Amino acid sequence: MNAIVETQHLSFAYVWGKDVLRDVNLKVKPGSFHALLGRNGAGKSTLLKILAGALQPREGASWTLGADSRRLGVNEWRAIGFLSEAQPLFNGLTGAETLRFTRQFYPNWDSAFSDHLCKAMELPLDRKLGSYSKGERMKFLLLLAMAFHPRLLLLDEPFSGLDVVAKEQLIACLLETTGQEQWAVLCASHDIAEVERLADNVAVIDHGLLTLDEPLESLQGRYRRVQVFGAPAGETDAGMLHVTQSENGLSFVETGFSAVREAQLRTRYGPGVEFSSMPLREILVSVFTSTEARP
Amino acid sequence: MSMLAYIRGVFLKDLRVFRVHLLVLLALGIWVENPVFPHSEDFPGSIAAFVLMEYVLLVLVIQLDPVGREFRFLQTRPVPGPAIGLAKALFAGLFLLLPILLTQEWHLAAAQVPMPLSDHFILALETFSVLSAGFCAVALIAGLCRTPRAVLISLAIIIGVPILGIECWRSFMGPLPTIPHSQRVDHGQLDSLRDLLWQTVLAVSCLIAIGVRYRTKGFRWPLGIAVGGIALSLLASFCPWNFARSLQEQGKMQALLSPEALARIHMTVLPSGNGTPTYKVSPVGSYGGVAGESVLQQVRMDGVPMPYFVQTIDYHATITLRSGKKFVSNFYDAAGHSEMGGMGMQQMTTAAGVQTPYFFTTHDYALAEFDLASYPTAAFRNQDLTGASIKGVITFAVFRAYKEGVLSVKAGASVSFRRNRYKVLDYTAKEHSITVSLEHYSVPLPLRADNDGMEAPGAFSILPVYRTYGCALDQSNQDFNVTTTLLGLRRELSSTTYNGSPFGTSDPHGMQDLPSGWQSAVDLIVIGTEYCGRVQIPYEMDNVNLGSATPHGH
Repeated sequence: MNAIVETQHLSFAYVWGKDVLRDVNLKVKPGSFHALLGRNGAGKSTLLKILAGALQPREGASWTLGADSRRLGVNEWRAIGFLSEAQPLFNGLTGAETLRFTRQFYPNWDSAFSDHLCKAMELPLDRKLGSYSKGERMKFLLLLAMAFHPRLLLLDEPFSGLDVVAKEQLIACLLETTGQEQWAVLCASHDIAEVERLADNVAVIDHGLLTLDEPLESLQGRYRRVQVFGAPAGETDAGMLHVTQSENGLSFVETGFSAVREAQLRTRYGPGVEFSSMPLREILVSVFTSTEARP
Repeated sequence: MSMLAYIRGVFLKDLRVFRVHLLVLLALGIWVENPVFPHSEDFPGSIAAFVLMEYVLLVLVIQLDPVGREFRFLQTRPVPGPAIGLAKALFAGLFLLLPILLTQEWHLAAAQVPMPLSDHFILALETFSVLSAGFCAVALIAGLCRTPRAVLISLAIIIGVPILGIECWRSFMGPLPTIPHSQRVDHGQLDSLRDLLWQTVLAVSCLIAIGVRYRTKGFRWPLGIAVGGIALSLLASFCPWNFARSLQEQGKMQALLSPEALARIHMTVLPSGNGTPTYKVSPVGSYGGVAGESVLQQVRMDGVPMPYFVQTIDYHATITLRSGKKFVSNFYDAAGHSEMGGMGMQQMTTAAGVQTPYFFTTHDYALAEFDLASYPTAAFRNQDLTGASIKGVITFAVFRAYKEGVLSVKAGASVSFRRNRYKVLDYTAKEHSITVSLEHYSVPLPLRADNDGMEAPGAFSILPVYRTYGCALDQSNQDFNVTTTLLGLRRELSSTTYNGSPFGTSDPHGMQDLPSGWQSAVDLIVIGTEYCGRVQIPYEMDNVNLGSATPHGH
């Protein structure tokens, strides 16, 4: 199995609850930064919990580092870095004590790398973790997740609630390290601007369904905002989303943009057509607010 | 990395996190519970408060790495689940259980109660069983819940719902339906054992559930095991009397009578004659709102020589009314049986080797009264209750009284024997009486069939004796103050006044009056009883008039 993380027809529902995940097929390849995006309650964290072995799928299967995610053992966890905003730390211990406690479980713990990350993220190791700010906690968790050179990083809302500086430090650290180490990263987040700087693949979960899973470059390449000045009403087709007709003309989101498609639209609408590229945030809004998001 | 290294790592982490809590808790425990400068009497219930604080600490320790929380820190680290569970168990054992066991031993040493090593082991086992049941149940809740708040809510529900439920039932439905149960001695002993069984099963099932939870991180299996274990433990608390008794009788075989000696024990129901019945029908009080009556019959007991005696532990009888209606009467269906036998003065004086008062005529048989049937009053209402017949089988436990030790009435005098120590604290001599303050330390072991009750077979009685004449003295007054601690040591303070006249002074053949200065020659003889076996005896009664709480006279 080449994928670092793979799910096949994965479904999950909590007891007495509705389906949280439905028929999810996802692959994360070595060296890729896979962003897992979706609205609140879409099932992102649930998917991470399943991949981390904390929950068991109702149907389908999931593998993490080639092992059945229901049976992750010590060997797998020695190669998985995990960070979650909801993860509690030992507030009664200092940062240094927690580092000492944690590193004993990892034969491949890199103390020099750990020191480097500490300095880069300006972590006060002599203070108790209970006195850490949220940003410091997240940076400390990231340090604990990376200091042993994992093959896979599972990140659950790593940027949530952080200030700008903390976010920048976290991103810089991730960019530097993941770029060098060729780790696979699966990151569930609402912070699209930050994810856009890091991710090379984007997966979107909407109401438990994986509605989108493709390289960011490809996604941004095929989404365009199209403005047609003076276009007549009613001339739309399946690739267009959010079609609006105004006094200025026709506006829509093109989901299958390519050179051929551009030529077709220019032929249809003449010289009054303009194409503008879309940031990831706008693409996602289009995806989430449309029921026809699949390419 | 070996399993031991994982356990050590997690254990040291917990110790590091809770070092201050532990120091405060242990210092508090030592200050309050040490037997050298004890403060436990200044703070009633302090040991219970100490155990409660231990429970809280245990919740905190487990909640540090709760299994119920999906993304707890250690769950996403290369640490095997069983190592976490074992580290927590080690923590609880070393810092929560061991201090209590050590304090218990400290108390025993300070009280100078002699105990063989096996009794120390049994006491530790009993304490461990009681404490670990609570620890395990709390640990299970703490381990399954996601947050400390959830733990608190769960505990509040578990404790609060039954209390509120009982109160609601009492408010709207009246008295609670209760399982027939008496305060009888034998029940008391068996209850202790059944409590231990209950707690042991609860502890084991919780431990298994916790273990499974840590191993699989699943929810349904451990929950199922825990629920099953709790159900089993409830069943264990209703375990058959016979089973419990047979467990208790293990290890008490040294005093057993031979089958031939037991076979010589007979009970003969004395026949009524000339309109004078040899039985009476007495109310036995109500239990769970059900009033009952018992039939108290005069009998002759053969084959029970002094200082042996019998005590009812069970009967099953069928009462047949003149109309043909039958009613099955079981000993445990009724509460407050009146006559059940037991040790009397005659057995005590015989065991002590002193003069037997005159009115105990010497026969090779004994006359006694025994409750042979009982029934709920309401069941026989509007029935013809004359001319009923009763047929049944009664089970007696046979005991023997023996002299355990002698204590001279001198301040500071003491006598010690297995699991007991008597000490004269003080005495006040008057012309016609002497008042003795006595301290009695005992260590009841339910697994050895002891219980906290004073009247239990196996417990001890004091016979005051005027040494010079070798006669028992009259007792006029007694005050008790009993302190039972959770640490297993029972302390009883009593103040008893003995008269300067021999027991049964109206004897025309005469025990002599005591000379002046008699107070200096008073001994307190400790009389013990030991179990010698069990006999089942069938009996029949005819033409019994039931249904009246008024004695028919005999």
